Amino acid sequence: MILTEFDYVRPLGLDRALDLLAGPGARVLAGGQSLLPGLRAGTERAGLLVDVRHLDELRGISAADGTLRIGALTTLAELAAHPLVRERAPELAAAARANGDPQVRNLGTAGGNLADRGRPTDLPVAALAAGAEVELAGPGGRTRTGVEEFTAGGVPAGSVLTALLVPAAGPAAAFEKAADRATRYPLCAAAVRITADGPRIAVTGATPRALRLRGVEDRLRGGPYTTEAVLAAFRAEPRELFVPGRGTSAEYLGHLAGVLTARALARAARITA
Amino acid sequence: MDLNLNLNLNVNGRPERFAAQPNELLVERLRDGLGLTGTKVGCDTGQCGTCVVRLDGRSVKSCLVLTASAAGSEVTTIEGVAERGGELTGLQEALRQEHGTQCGFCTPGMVMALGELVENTAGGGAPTEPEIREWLTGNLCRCTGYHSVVRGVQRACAPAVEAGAAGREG
Repeated sequence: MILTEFDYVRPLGLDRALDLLAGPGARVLAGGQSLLPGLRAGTERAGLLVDVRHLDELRGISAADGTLRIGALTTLAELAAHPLVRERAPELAAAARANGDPQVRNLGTAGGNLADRGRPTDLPVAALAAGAEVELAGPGGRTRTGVEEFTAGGVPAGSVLTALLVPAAGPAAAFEKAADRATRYPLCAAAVRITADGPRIAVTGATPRALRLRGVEDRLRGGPYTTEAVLAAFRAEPRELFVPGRGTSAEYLGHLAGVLTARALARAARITA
Repeated sequence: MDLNLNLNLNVNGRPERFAAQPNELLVERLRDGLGLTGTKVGCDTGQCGTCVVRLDGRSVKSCLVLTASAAGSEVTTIEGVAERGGELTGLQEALRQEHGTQCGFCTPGMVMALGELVENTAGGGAPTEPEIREWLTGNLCRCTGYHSVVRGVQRACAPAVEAGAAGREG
């Protein structure tokens, strides 16, 4: 039972949802797979839950002008299985598949996974490697923000994440994860996408939040992406980048991030060749 | 402040109307409100899967759904899978034959979760053993007897001819 009290509203449109979210203590409820356990554990608070789960305008996956538009309410199960996503953003499909378990993926949403400010989740790292943007709706209208800026700041108060915009690529992208056995959250996860300008590499779990590692990218530009080269590129990062805890040391996490990145690069490069 | 909400829910084919608090969880409505105690509460934190039900066809953890958010949807619990006193479904019968029930506490959640896997793969070939095991990630069994559950799913998904042959051998 959730011992804390809150009110609940199911608005019929996004505009009404935004009106409601302007009030104090109002929170967005979508899939609820992180928020509800958080409310029960007392790590999250809400005076009013604005349930957007039934808003069709936040659904759907489409492709136009080389960009995939993924509605925020797309469930992780839908994202993992969608042919367009698997073909043009394989790191994102794999990250969605790596989340939680089938039941969590059936309700958990892309938007919620990206917006989660609690424990590290799997989608942000894939969105970073893909060079994606998020679309936000707020009192001032709709805006687009790069995922890198978004993961640093989160969803602004009173706004709703409406879509993820992902540049469509070929299959030269991959995701790798070492999951915490009990919770399925990433101990460390890495996502890569190989572009004409070199590799884009992002890591989460081992780091304070999902981060693009430009230093590692620079050291690996031009390849080859051998395990030795990738591990050396990670060893050159400052030790403070990796946050020890959960029974691990910074040294271990730095090594794990390197191993996962090397695996992802090997897979992505093999597909490119 | 009276926060009661008037809600509708279709449970196992029956329309239900009731008033509920905004912070009520679906599992509480099913067990305490409607007396459907086949759905279990194991961990109450979304990890163990004993509370899995079908919500508009998809398997979900009913301790991670607000009753208010489920309103207007169709819910199927373990009580709605096979008719009371009637025949078991193919999945249930296969789990029984492979001793996949053990102490039984996790079984309702397993049946509700695995039902979706069996339906999803119907016509498209049986799920592989790794696929079955991955699908069970959200269902914890403290008897640690996953092997017999996996065999049960394999039996349930085996082509009809093979199932008949296995039956004759037994």
